[in-house]
Formats: sequence, structure tokens, C-alpha cells
Amino acid sequence: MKRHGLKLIAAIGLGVPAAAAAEPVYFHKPNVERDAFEADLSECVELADGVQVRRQDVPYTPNIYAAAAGAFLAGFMASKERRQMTRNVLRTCMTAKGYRRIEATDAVSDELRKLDKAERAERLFTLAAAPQPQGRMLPQ
Amino acid sequence: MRWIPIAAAALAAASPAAAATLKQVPAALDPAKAYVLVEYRLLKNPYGGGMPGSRKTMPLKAGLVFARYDPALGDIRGMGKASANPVERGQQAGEGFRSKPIASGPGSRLFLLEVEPDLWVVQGFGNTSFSLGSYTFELAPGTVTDLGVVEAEPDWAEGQKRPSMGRLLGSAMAGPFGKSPDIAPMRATFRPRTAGDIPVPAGIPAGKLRPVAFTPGAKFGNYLGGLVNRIEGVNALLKAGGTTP
Repeated sequence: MKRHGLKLIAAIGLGVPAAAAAEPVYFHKPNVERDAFEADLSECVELADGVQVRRQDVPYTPNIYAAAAGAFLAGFMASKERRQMTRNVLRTCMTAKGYRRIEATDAVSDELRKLDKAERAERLFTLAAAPQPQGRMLPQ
Repeated sequence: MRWIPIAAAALAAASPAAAATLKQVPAALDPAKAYVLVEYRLLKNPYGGGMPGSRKTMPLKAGLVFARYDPALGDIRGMGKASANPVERGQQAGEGFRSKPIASGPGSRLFLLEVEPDLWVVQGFGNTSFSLGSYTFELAPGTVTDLGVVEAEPDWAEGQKRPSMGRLLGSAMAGPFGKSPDIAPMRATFRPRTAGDIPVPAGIPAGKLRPVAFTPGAKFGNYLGGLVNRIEGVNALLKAGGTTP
């Protein structure tokens, strides 16, 4: 469970951009236990994995370039919609478990980018469990 | 060619039986089935703005989704943690929304569903799965369980709100490169039927009608593929000063 949880944290690591800005976001709950954090995040990621975006149908055209452009835009829209829904599921789920979203500072973001997966997971847990959040607290 | 009817019959036998869509109260209740009576309050039209000719309420395009629940395994039967306990072959595992009311009132619609007797859960409303906490209820054979009146609305998070018409038009014109409008999961509130609601149809025997007994706290996976929420609304609970255990 612990190893699985760490992988999840590393995979999620700052992958939740704030809706209003391109700044990355992490979840914070003062003094949360590692097992509880991993279980909470694991459950929420599982729910987010359930998100399915309906296939966007592209109108038929005999023009191959128009068809390619249409398919590209449809795929782009579907991907955007899926990201937005995934963010919403994670936000609602983690909020329900008492976490706050924190917009990470530039220093924290830079630091995390330089770490490998295991180190980043460890760092994200210490950030999540810290008594005070490092960054701006976002709306719940 | 001869194989086609055989294949079709085999497929029909393999897939769960679809429940009958009741457009009126049946002459006699099937003792092997259970019935659910539920009234929907229609959502107000947020973009009407009192303009002449604009509709006051939104059409009922989506509604409650029900599924059979295993409380011991803690999931919907046949899914996720309860995959070892699927429903019996040929039976329905869930009941999606079908817009076939048996009665209509001003701003409300009354539905009667025929399903299998079992422990059921309110799985979701529209594209929202109440995976974070929902209500289960027991449906006994040959009885009609009255869920009362349900009202659903978007559960906006702090700092988010319904996009204005101008914003929606702007997003549509910007196409895939514009900022997407905020989205919100739904939440649902049930209340007992009162004198102002659509009355229970006369064809339902009084002795067979019973009020629902909801048990909160059922959790399950996100099998509807959309957003998730608690049935009461995580954000609504927070705004009301409550906690979300």
C-alpha cells in the first residue's frame, strides 16, 4: 500500500494546475499521517480515473485536410474536457477529506521539478503534512 | 443467415433485462418486482431572466440513477470491490433515468419505476456520481417505496459560479483555445411529499405504499464516468458550516 501510494503521489505530483492560473497546486492538511494521506489520495485518484469523455464526432468531409484539422480539434477539446473533469473530481474528493488546495510557490515548483519520482513523492507528503502551507491557499 | 436470430437470442439472454418503462400505474403490482415513486422538482431556468417567452424551468433531460448495492463489500454489485457479487443473470443491475413521467404538475414530474427487490443506492444524478457518500434504501417485493420529492442543483465550489450567457457565448466563439467555463457536480435533496406536491396516483393501493428509509454513507466507484460528489453536496455542506467526514 505504501509503495503504491508513493507512486500515486509521484504521478499526481503537482499535476493539478489551478483553474485560474498555470501555477501548480498541491493538497495540504496539517499533520496528516502518511497512511491516511496515501489512502485519501489513492481513493480520489481512483475516482478521477473513472472520468470518461464522450467521443467527439467530427462531421464527414471529403477534404482530407479539413478532416485532419477537425479530428485534431476534437481530440484537443476532449483532452481539455477530461483534464477539467479530473481536476474537479480531485478537488471535490480531497476537499471532502479535509484538504486545502495550495498554489505552490515558484521555489517549491522548481525544487520538485528537479527531484526524481521517489524524492518528489516524499517531498509532496512533507508539504501536505506541514503545519503551515507553503504557498497561497486557494478557494476550497 | 439462419444464425442471426440465434445470435440475437443469445445476446438478449446474456444482457441484463431492461426494466419496463411505466407510463401509468399498472392495473396490478407484480409481486416479484419492487416499485419506486419519485417526484422531481424542475430546475429553474438560470438564463431566463424574466424575458418574454423564456421558459421558467429547464426540461428534465437528466435525473437520478439507481444501482444495486452490497453494503458488506462496500460497492455497487458486480463492480469494483463488489465484483464478486454480481446481480443474478438476466436481472437489472441498475436503473438509469428515462424521461417518462406518469404525472406532471407545475414545475414537477412524477415517476414510477419497476425494478428488482434488493438494497439499492442513489448512484448519481445526471453526469455526477455520488461516490463520496450516498443513500441506500431497501425495496421490498410487491410494494411501492415513495422516495418523496427530489430537487437537484449544481454544487458550486468556493470561488466558482454558473457562467453568464455572455461568458458561454464568448467561450463558444473562442473555440478550443478559450478558457473553459467552470463546471460543478450536482447534489440532490430529498424531502417527504407534502400537500402541495403531486398526489400519489389513485391506482397505487394504500396498503402497498411505504415511505423510504434512507441509510446514508454508502461509497462506491465512479462508474458513471463523470464528476463525483456527496449526495448532500461537499461544497454545500462546507458553505453551511458543516464538515464532510
